[in-house]
Amino acid sequence: MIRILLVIVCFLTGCAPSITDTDFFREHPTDPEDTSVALAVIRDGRLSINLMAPDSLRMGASILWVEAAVDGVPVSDGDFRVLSKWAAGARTVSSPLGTVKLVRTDRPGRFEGAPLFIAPHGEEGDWQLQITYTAGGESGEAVLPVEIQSSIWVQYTDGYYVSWVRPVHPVTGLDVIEFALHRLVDEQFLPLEDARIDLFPWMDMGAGQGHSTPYEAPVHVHHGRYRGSVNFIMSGGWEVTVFIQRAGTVQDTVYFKGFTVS
Amino acid sequence: MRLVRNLWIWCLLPVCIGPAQAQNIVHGHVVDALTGTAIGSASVMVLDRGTGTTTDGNGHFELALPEGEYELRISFVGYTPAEFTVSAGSVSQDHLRIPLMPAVIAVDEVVVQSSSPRINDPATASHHLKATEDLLDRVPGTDFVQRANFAWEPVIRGLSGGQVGLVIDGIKVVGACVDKMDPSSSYVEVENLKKLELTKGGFDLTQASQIGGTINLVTRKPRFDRPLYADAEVNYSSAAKLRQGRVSGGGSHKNTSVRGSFSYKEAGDFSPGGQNPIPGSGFKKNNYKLDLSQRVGRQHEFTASFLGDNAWEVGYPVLLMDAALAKAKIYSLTYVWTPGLHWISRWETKLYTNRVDHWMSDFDRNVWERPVMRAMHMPMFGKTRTTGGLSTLELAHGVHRLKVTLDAYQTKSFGDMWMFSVFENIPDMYLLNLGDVRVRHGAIALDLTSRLRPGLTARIGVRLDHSPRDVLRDEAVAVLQGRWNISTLARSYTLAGASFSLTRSIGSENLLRLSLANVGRLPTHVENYGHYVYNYVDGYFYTGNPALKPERSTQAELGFERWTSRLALRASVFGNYIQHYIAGENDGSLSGNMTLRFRTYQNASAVLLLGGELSAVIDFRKWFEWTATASYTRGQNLELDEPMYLIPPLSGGSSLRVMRDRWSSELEIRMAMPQNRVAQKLADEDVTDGYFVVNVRGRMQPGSGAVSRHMEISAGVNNIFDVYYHKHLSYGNLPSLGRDLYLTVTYSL
Repeated sequence: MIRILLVIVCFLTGCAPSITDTDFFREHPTDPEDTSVALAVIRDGRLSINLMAPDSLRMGASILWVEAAVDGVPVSDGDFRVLSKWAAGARTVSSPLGTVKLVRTDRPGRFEGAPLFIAPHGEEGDWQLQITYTAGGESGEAVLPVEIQSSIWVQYTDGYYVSWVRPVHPVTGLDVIEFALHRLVDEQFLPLEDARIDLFPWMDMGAGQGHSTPYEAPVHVHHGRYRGSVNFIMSGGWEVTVFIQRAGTVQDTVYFKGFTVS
Repeated sequence: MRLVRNLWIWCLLPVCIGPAQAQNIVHGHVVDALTGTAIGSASVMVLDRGTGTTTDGNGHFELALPEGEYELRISFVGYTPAEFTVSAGSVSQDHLRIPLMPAVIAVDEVVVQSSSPRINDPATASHHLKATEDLLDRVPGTDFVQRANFAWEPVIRGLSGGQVGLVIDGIKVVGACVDKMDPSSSYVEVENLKKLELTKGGFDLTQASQIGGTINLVTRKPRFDRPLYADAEVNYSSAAKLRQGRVSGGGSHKNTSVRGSFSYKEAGDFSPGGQNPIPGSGFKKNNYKLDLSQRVGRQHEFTASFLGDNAWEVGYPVLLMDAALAKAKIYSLTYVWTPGLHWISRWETKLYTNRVDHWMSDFDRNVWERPVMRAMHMPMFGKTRTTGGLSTLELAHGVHRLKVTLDAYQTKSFGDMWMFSVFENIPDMYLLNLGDVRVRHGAIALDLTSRLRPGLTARIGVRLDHSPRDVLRDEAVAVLQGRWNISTLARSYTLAGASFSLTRSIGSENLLRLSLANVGRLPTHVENYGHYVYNYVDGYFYTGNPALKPERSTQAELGFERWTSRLALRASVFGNYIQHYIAGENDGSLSGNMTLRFRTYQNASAVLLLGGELSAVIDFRKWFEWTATASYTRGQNLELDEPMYLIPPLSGGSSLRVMRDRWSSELEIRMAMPQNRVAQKLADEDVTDGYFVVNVRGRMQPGSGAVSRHMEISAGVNNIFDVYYHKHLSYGNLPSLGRDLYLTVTYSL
């Protein structure tokens, strides 16, 4: 009887080749590598503030983390605001979106925001991050130098800037998409509020193949910011063409090309 | 002298007693289950022995059988065939009463015996079986969508997919492949198939709420009539170099019985008529089944069943990908109560769970040459997990029989796809075809059969279905919510259907049947929630639509049967008007280049199907008969004013059969007319030429020796003239097999 059972067990378990996910597919979702960078540490009495970013800071909107603790205990309440600035000699230009208030995340003591880094077109300069904080009974302000990578997220055309404000990291599904249009006058970015915008999202699949995806064209909401939506139907490489029509001018076209939707 | 004479008598006595002990007489009385009136001329077959008899004018029969238990199958025109286990010898079987239920709707029932299939349709060929599809293929009005030389998808009267309910012993098994490469009919191999019940149209609501028809693959279970039994078969077929072997067997002891089976088959690239083999068209497959039955007293029986099926390296030469591996595991526990009460005939309850996994791959393909999804590999994975219960209570009261069915199950489905471009600058792409779609389904069905007056029987069926469904994976929810601009994908359907059938006997040889139904079918989980699912019929990528309405069908069928001692004839005509027909509509929110086109499922069209089937058999002699079948379906999309797609042309077949005690042979032709009525607005379908194919086959029992009497040899040639043809329902005009020589040796104990 035992032999019969053994035969049956072998029979039921060993009758076909096996395929595992790992040898058939690449793993999904892939575990992202830890690419976070430490930017600075601020100590004020018992309060310590670690300024971090999930990736290297880049032109355009870039995510910034603040991890705050009092005597090593994560801070649950706090007010952290950041303002990005570009400086060349005595000339300083602040982000057109102004100060960004960081919001608390699910991780204890971590606050997150996405300041916009934008520089005068074709000019060299340095970057600063001004942080203002109130937490753990302490308050203060610090100005920190930061490195900013060039990126696709700010485009310059016909004398004005088109910034991709969000989503900072596009994901599959319906994403709210927001652009900011500004013109630089002296040391100040002024919003362009009279534009009509249309989009064309496109996935290049190679070999002359590709497809678009459903979207809603952005409309002006306030201070040069235009908001719409894109439903990225799959992960992979995408590009978004933005058509900008301003009164009395020829339509401008800018391309946000070469980003990945996860 | 008297002493000598007495001694002589005493010496002879054992000789006389011997045969009398070996042959026991089983008496039976076949009656109408509703009225109790005798049924004369009913057929009584002893399964697996090939012997039988008919009832006399008073419904009585006698069978001489060796001691043991036997399965009898009793059938008669206008009645649902019944099977009974009888004991010959030890217990008196005098006047065994066998009630037959009037068959008020037409059910094509194919019964598989050890050596050849038998069908209640008069003109179905008795032929060699390589797969379950071979059985279905001979039922008039039934066709297949062919994607490969493997796992064909059944089509009934021009309807398929979600419009046809396909179950295994009543169990719902949902395919895991979004491209429908794994119809559940492929999980039941011939050695495990006891019979196949097929109902065309939506007249039988006990299995499912469907508008096209239902197919129930009834599998073999342990038998109590034999202490030990076994079958083995080996087969070779030349066109695909198919090698297959099967073993099955079991045993019983008192109230316990077990049965198991295993089969393996491997096919190479198949050759169409007059052509070289088609590369990448082979497959490998195994199948195994184990059942354990336990009787408790005479009224209770429990059966635990397991069915496993694996197929791998399955080539789909006309599709974008091949199936790397397809796995199915089906578990069930069945309890049957036959209380012997006059008002409760039977109560069967089944609990089941099954899992299906399906991997597709194109890593062995030259992806540079194909027109769609060029220059990328796109492995796909799909899985379903289904758990459910099915309970059927059969009640009797006078001339009324009521069947109450409770049917509940839940299916979770997942499917995804990677796309790896051969260009390094193209990032990997990934999408969810089905993001953990959960479908729950509950139904109650009532089926009442009543004898209104002699020769007139009515059947009324009603069914109520309720099915909440949703998508559980956030990523898929986000995509579909964005596509349809809705806040929730959850959807709940409630669907009612009703059917009515009336059967009128005209004399003892003719039967007239009228069936009417107003039924619906729910959208499939792919039609509701699928994403980026490629449809090979029209070449579009489809997005599911959570707001779909159920298809609604109003249909009628008129049938006629005539059975005499020399002639059997079945004919039926039908009409099927379907509203809210689910079809593709171009998706204006997505654009692509010429090879990437997008559609969504919409209730865009109404369609009308008209057609009929005819089959006949004439017995010229007891050992010589001629059979013929023909079927035709005409489908019209009323909204687009064009023919429906995937509608088979006028087709049929004819056979001449010679059947002797130890051998039989058959000459068969199968043919189809050209199909010029094609859908060109909806599917860009092309016309198909007709074909005419001749087959010849035979079987014999080589001898009566100790070994040879257990053996049977079958051989034949299909498509003798090596005709190159393809059927209209073949994807990519995949040709059918060319000349195919086969040889099968079966050994039974």
